[in-house]
Amino acid sequence: MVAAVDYRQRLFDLAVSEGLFSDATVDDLRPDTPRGAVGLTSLNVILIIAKYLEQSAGDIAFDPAWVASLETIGGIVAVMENIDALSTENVSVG
Amino acid sequence: MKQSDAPPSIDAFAAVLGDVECAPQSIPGFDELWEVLGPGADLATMGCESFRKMSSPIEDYVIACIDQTLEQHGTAPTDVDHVVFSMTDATLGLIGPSFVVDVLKATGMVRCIPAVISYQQCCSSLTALHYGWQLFAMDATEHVIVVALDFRSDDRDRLRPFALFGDAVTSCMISRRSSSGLRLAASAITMDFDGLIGNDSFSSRQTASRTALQTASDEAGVQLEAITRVFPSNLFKPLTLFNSAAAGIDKAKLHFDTTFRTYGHCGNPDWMLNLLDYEATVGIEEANTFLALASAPGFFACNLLVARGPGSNNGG
Repeated sequence: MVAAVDYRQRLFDLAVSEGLFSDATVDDLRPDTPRGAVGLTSLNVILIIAKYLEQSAGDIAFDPAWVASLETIGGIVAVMENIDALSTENVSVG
Repeated sequence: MKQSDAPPSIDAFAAVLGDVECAPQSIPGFDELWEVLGPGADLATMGCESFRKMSSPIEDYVIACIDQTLEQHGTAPTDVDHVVFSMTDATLGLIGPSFVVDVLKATGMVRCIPAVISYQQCCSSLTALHYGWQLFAMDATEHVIVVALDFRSDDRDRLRPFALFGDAVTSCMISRRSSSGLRLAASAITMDFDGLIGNDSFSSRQTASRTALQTASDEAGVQLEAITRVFPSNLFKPLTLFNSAAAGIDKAKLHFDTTFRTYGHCGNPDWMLNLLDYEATVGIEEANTFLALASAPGFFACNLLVARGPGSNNGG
């Protein structure tokens, strides 16, 4: 059985590695938490998504439809899941 | 065809940048400012390595820029009917009361009518171009100069959460005399009051940009996919790329890397700096279609420009 990916942890690790979190903990990242409540500016979110796209397999382009999701932690995580889903599709079609 | 029947054209683009080249780290208190205003990431990831600042009064740079446009166009200063200045609110607050008189006197444009477009932040220069273009509805209008200028008097004001500001002036000529140059096919601007008061969101910014782009696209009858190149505001690179993607613009069509890396964000002159750099490095060909963009907190503007070929007369 494949363990489910913990995207909340993945978001936290990415933000920390980019130097974007100083005080927040992974437990602060609840789905309905507004990004601003954990100190994420709009540019921080842009950097996180850009980094995630860069790390993903395949050449995934940013989808304008994702924009509306980026105001909450749950939305950001959903975009990361979406990127991985597209990435998997890309890899499987070669 | 009478001269007054000829469609107007935009050309003779010129730029004068601040004469002092600086590294961002030369800004007093840079580390502390970046700690507070920056995104937490290294400045190097933002794509800006230097900026230019002016060491003389702004009038000197504006006069030099207008002189270049006049010379390139081969037009006598006394033949200019209108000059339209554009600048951010911050620059408007910095220029002195004798600015216009000093510029008109020094350039010799003693017959032209001056105007200023502001309060639209970095979008003001796109509105200024549109205003200048509309002046050709009057038969008597033959030559209009559009000037975009922005500068900072205090280096500590250069760093913002979205960009690093440099100083520059750009100008261009709209006239009926050129058969080449660019035609303004459409112009659109949207205002998002939430953005003006710092309460905007990803969605409200996206709505503002897509509404303006759709309006311009419909007006010109040109699809975004058909655009040759896009000249955006020079904001931090990740932000410029994101804004464009959110608006539905292909990042491969953006032309801003070199100018932003070298000059920073120069406010209203940005799109003209990018156009000039494209003209110098790639070249403009007949029927090329360009999108000049500007975005600022609360505003999004775009002008759709179509390149005329020598001898062509493709509409006004």
